[in-house]
Amino acid sequence: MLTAYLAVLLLVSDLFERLVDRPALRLSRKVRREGPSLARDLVVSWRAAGRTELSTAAARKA
Amino acid sequence: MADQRLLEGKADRLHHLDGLRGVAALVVAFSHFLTCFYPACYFGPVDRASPAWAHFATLPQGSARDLATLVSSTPLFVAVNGSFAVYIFFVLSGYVLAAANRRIGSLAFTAAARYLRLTLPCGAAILLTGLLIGTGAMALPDIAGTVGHGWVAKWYQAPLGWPRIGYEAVAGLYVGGATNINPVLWTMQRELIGSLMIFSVAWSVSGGRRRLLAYAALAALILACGLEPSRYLAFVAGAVLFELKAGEQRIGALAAALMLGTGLLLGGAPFFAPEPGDLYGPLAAPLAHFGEDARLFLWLAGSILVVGTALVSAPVRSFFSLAPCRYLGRISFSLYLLHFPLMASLLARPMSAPASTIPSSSARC
Repeated sequence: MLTAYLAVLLLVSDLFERLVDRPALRLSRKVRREGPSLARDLVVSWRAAGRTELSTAAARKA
Repeated sequence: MADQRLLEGKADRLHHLDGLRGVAALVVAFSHFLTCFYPACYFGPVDRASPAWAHFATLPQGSARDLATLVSSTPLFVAVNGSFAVYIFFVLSGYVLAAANRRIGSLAFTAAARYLRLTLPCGAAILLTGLLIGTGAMALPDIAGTVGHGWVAKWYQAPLGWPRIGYEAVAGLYVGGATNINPVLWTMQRELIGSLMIFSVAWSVSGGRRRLLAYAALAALILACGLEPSRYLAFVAGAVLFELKAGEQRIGALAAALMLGTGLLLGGAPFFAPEPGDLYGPLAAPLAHFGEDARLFLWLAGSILVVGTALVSAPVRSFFSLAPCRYLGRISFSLYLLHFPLMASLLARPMSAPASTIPSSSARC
């Protein structure tokens, strides 16, 4: 019974590692490595969009 | 060297440390098997922390009682001491996090990445446990009366709703410091806080010597605060081992045997608090002033020695780099998260059947 449980435990753990643990590790590495530059890009594009909107509004007013 | 390769991002994992983590995860699984089905082998024939368990002492002398005494009260306990294995996890985390985060660009993103790394697998394991609870598969409460120890009776007695399970999966496991969904999750709050401590030092202090001083200051702060010092000191100890370049040092076979033997001897300190007359009593007495149970410091010291040996001894490195250990290391986090709910359902179910009820003296060891 204990052997069967151990076999199931190893099998399920292996499956869980492939389906959940490994992708989670990849995602966390991606966030750590690329997160700051992605956030910077997002802020830059958001600011650029804001500037465009402002200048369009100013042009309309004029 | 592997540590340097990890540092440079060329190596994915440190295989010998993975192997050690895998073996430690198996010890945790085995310790929960004992605590659930043969608690006398873990808590001792007379659990000093739980007078209710004293009834074991009334059982006649014999192989069951002798075995329980042998496993729970001698250094052999190291083979099933899940709490000691958890200290090994903490020291390993300190080492690996210090190695992989030598230079931190953004503390916020590093912390967020760590949160995701821990929460996604833990959350998935909690949801899986919720499914087992929801389908009525948890049979552990059925055997609690037969086993007769309070620790077994703690799990899956009260119904848990999905909102509660969802909360536990994303935040609850950190907020309360423990959940009643899975006993292993108490370590996650410590993992997250310990990781943040290592990240903070790595982010704010550069240079080996200055960083060592910063870790010494952090250790002093942890001791001064007195909030679970042994656990957070384990993270600091792991990071210090990295800063001392332990992975690049080598020692002889005799020194390694002495180091490993002492580490395992300390890791074999029993679950119950040592008393002056016990084998571990004289070791524990000077540690009683640090605001925490002395045995925790014995396990801490033992785990530092064991991890240290796995770093500096070539034969020990080779052993933990063997394929079975590496395999266990690869699945260690999953094994750690899943063994208890699977045991409480798959293994407890046949044991709760009337025909195979655990006999009172033999099955309790």
